[in-house]
Amino acid sequence: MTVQPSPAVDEAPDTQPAKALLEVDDLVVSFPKSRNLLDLIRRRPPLRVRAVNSVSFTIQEHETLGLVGESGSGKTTLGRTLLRLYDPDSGKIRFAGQELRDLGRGELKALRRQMQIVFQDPYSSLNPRFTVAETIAEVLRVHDVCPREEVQARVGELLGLVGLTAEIGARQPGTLSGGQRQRVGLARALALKPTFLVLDEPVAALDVSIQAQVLNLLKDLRDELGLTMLFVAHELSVVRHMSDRVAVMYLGQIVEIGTTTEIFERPSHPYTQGLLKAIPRMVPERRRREAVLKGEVPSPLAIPSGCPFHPRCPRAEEICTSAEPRPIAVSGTQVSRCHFAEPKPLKPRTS
Amino acid sequence: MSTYTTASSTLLSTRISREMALWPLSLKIGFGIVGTIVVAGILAPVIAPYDPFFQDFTAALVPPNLEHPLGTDMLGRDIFSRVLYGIRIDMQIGFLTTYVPMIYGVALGAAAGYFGGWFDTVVMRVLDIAMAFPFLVLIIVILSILGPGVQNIYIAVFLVAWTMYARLARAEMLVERNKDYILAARALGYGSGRIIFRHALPNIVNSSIVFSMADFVLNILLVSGLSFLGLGVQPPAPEWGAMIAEGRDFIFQAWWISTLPGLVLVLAGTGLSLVGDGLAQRFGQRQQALL
Amino acid sequence: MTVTALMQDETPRAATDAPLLDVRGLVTEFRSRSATVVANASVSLQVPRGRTVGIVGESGSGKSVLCRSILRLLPSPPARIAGGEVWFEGRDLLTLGVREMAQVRGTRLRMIFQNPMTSLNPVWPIGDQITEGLRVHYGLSGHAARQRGLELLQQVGIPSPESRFDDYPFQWSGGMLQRAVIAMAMAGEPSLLLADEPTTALDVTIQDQILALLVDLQERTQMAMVLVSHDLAVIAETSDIVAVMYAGRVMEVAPVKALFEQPLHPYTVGLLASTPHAETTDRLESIPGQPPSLSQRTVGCPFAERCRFASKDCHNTPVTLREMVDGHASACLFPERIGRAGA
Repeated sequence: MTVQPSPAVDEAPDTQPAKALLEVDDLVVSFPKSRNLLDLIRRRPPLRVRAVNSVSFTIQEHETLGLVGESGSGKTTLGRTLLRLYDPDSGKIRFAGQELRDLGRGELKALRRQMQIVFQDPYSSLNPRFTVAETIAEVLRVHDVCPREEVQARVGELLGLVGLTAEIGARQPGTLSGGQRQRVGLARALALKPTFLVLDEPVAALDVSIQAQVLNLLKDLRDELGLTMLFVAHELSVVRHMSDRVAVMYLGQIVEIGTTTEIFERPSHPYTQGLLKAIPRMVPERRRREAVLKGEVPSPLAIPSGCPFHPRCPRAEEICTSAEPRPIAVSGTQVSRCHFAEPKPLKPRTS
Repeated sequence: MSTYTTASSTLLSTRISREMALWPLSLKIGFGIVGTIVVAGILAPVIAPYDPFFQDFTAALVPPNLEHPLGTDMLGRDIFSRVLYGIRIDMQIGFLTTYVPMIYGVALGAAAGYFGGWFDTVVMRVLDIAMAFPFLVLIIVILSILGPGVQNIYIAVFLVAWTMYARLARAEMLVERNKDYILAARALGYGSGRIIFRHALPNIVNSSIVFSMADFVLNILLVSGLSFLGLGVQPPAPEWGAMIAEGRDFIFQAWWISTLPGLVLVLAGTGLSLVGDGLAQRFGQRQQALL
Repeated sequence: MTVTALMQDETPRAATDAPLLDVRGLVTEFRSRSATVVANASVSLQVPRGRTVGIVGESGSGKSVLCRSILRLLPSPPARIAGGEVWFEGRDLLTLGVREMAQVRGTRLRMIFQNPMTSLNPVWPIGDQITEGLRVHYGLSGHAARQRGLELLQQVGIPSPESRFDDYPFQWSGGMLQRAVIAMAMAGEPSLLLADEPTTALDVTIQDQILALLVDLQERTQMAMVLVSHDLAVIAETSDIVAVMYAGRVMEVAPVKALFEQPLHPYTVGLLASTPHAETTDRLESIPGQPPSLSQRTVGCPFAERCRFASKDCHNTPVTLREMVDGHASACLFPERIGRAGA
């Protein structure tokens, strides 16, 4: 797969000269599939499951890129690989100009201070045995952020930053609610004052009313601290609230990327179009439904030939089964991987 | 407003009593039994009416009475006092043979599980080799080579007893290392040592701790058994197994010499088993509560 | 109180007067050593024949417990149904014996759950699981049961069911498993289907398919449905009547249009305002605070703490569901304070 130029960074109609903070080029991440005894006897080489199948994009400083996709899309793997929690097979990741794959252990640790992640599950992302204060203080100590006497004060500051009172520090995660735990996770991620934050489905496990609180908090913090974010989610409505641009993933590839307005109002890839139509709307009308997209999401073990979406695509034709579509620039900022990419305005919704 | 309680702001004594109130019955009873035995052993010099080595031939083979609550043996030694001092021996040996291998067994297993790769493979193969030998036979062989005695029992056990702990710890680590909080620790740039020992370990030791209780019992029985066979603790040390062995020849005239120490052994074993069961239950409760 | 028959403008169907399911004052508790949690505090709800009632609420609202209480699926210690009646097809389910209840559960009143992966037994072939009910409750022979099973799989949209009938659950995807679960439920020819968050664990496009299937089946068989979800949009698109639950109580019941256009409870207003939708990017209005702990019983309205319209009376006066406008009931003491809701 040849490397395609990343979508329209230079041609973007920006007023300031925006700097690319993160550049990803042709990234491939795969995992070996576990083998059973029969395979071992037959000496079959282990199959590799391509979770991320040649992905390229950039994120500008202070920008929030939303990353959406269903299961098997590879979005979670991608987010985690950016922090080198998984090792990519090939491809480049450049953060602030530095190629991540070349870094040694010490340099990586230093870089970790600038890139952090907030996980989806507030229940398992905190060590159940540590108190909140211990969890956050440890970060400060290991990275020598401030002198020992100041650690407690900093912990208090961070908790305040995410809207928690200092006495929460004495509690263990098991005694906190989902929303509170998620805030603690956020405080922990912000302890090192990172410039880049990956949010891996940060509100998926929360109730709607708490979700709104956390999303508002994220927005405020982002504006206050000037964070650059990668916001991974499967819920499109949530992504719309947070992102400047959105990338849509399917079976390990970015099938469409563009500004939030473009993606939500004029999607050009049949998958994006289908995905948007499939979201239930907050309109009290009982729909006699014809499912928008039929068929199952194929397993990443058996990625279909040509365009991976062709078995489910309502517009698929002969060429789609054999030729992988290349990214086509539909507009200055919108790029789509479809042979027939064409922005289709979605019907305006009436409430 | 909320029913949450803060973790570290209350007194230690209050926290202990609160914790103990939540213990299942088996844990309470087991703890009571073991606790009593251990305290009795510690206070042996104070409680024991006689010197365990003191031989009084005029009072040999005396059945249990007021002066000698458990009777005397063939050399006129007070069995009660010997049992009390025997607690020290059996408990100490049991403790060391259980917890020392547990320490390095769990450490090895956790590290192997965390790192995977060749390190894991090597550890697992060594483990397979160690487990391939029947434990008892191996111990007896080692003791025959090195000679009987407590030191050699330790050596023999330390060579092979770690394997189960390594297995347990490794299995739990394989699951734990994919959990988000471990990933978070990696994302925060923590070193592997810190992650394994400070973050993961406290969450994976539970099964090893429960197993250690059963192991403790078995080890005491092992030592007693070896002493019974003459391979372990040597006379005149008042080890329970040795005492049972000594009373063999007198089983019909003076049943108490073998039986009563035997009963104490059973009681200790039962207590430890109950603690093991109770801990398993309690850990399970705590897991539920954390969710 | 009864929710009188409602009409959708497009499909005028007369609902018979007696509701198919009539829950009256249901109280469900969970007892543990330390506390008693009241998961359902006097819940009343009616489901008319052939209609869909959507129950929306967040975690801790008691919506799942409600469904399980209706079917008496909760393990009896620690759960206990402490009061109320559940009238279904002329009988109070809470008074039925074990066998009779099992019969009802196997045929007329069925339930499907959230996680299709755990709803099926992993070591049995799917076909067997579907036909088991047919054999037990209808006495069908092996062959006849298999035929019927294949028919059912066809109805729920499984392509080429003959080749898949003997597959094991691990071979199927989440969406397909949920269809199999629905097939099992339909095998009993239920007059009422309880669906507890049936699409929450599924991807968006698959959720779309499953919801389409459920609505389709419902219209074809004219069965009634209770759909539980935390997603208001799902409820909006599938339900005729909506019940909003909070802290173990029903706070508002209304025909779906009325609920969205003129909610009469501050919690509903808050929910509507805090749900992100793909149409706007306005700042979300969040509801401050957290849902209350269910082990502490409050005297007044459980939502008062978080309610921006609350006054002193709200904390002191017990609340009950009262009919306000035709078919629209609310547990709010002062719904007039809400004014015109901004939806």
